[in-house]
Amino acid sequence: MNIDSTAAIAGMALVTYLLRAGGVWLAKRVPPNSRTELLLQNLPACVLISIVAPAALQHGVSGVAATLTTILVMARTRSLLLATLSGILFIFLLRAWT
Amino acid sequence: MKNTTYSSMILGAWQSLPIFILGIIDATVFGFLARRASLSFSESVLMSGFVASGTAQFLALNAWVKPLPIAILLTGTLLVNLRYLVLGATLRPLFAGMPKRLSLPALFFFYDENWALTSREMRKGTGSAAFFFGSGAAIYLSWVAGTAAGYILGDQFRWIGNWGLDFAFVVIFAAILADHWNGRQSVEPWAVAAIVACAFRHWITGEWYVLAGALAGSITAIRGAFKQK
Repeated sequence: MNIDSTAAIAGMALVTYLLRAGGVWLAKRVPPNSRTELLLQNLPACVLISIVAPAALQHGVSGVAATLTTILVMARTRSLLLATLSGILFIFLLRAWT
Repeated sequence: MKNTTYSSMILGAWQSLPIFILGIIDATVFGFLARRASLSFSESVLMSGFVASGTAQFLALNAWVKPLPIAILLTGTLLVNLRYLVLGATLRPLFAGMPKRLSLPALFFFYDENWALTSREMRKGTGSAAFFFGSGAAIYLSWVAGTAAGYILGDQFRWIGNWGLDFAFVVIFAAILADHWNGRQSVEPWAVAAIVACAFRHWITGEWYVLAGALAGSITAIRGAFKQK
């Protein structure tokens, strides 16, 4: 391994780790019961939907349909494995069909 | 080690089983592409082992031309992983009061997937740093092992795209999302987040859409909460 790829990998690793550890450290400075704390409580769901919605849309009608199927199965069964499998199976069948 | 800590770790690893399997597949794609981008075997595996960030690594492959544009690689990594600051902040209750010698190593095993699983447990009141670490370590293993496998096996993994497995991670996040539903008060923030994220993804390049959608949705939720008071 030469020096520039070592430096690139080490640098990428350091940047990533600092961001991973930095969030918990930053959050210690948030006063309890503030707007910022309310923001943090609402972030997880909004992060998830911001990942899911554009990705589903990018895969077209079958993507949106498979995503909705997954959410429905999850709401019914509360089983991550079942919900994931049904979503994947759904898009697989749709693609095989069309 | 306390018994409950140990069982939470195992529970975390067990819960991430579907992600573990899909993570291996995702990582084999990375290993395969890394080989085509003319990274050496050790470079590919070390990158997965030390950076352990799919988004940043796939992005780096695009810019992996000698002489390496290190500033571009690092800026790209910073931008796509900025979300960890926000995600990490939501994990604070887990690490409050924990000694740094435990929390700092545990935070290395911090990925979107185990964050999502852990936030689901936190909502149920059963989230713990041990669960976070257990699920993270399992995902880490799948990522590194998969990279090595993909590099060695190469071309034999090209059928994956046709099987709907490229869509698997969307499905996992969607399933976890379903657990965050809070009844009618979720409608408005979720709609805003979805619309803003899609708009950003469509019209603005880069990885900003997740942060933009998440912030817009959360701010909507706060405004709703203050209106009720």
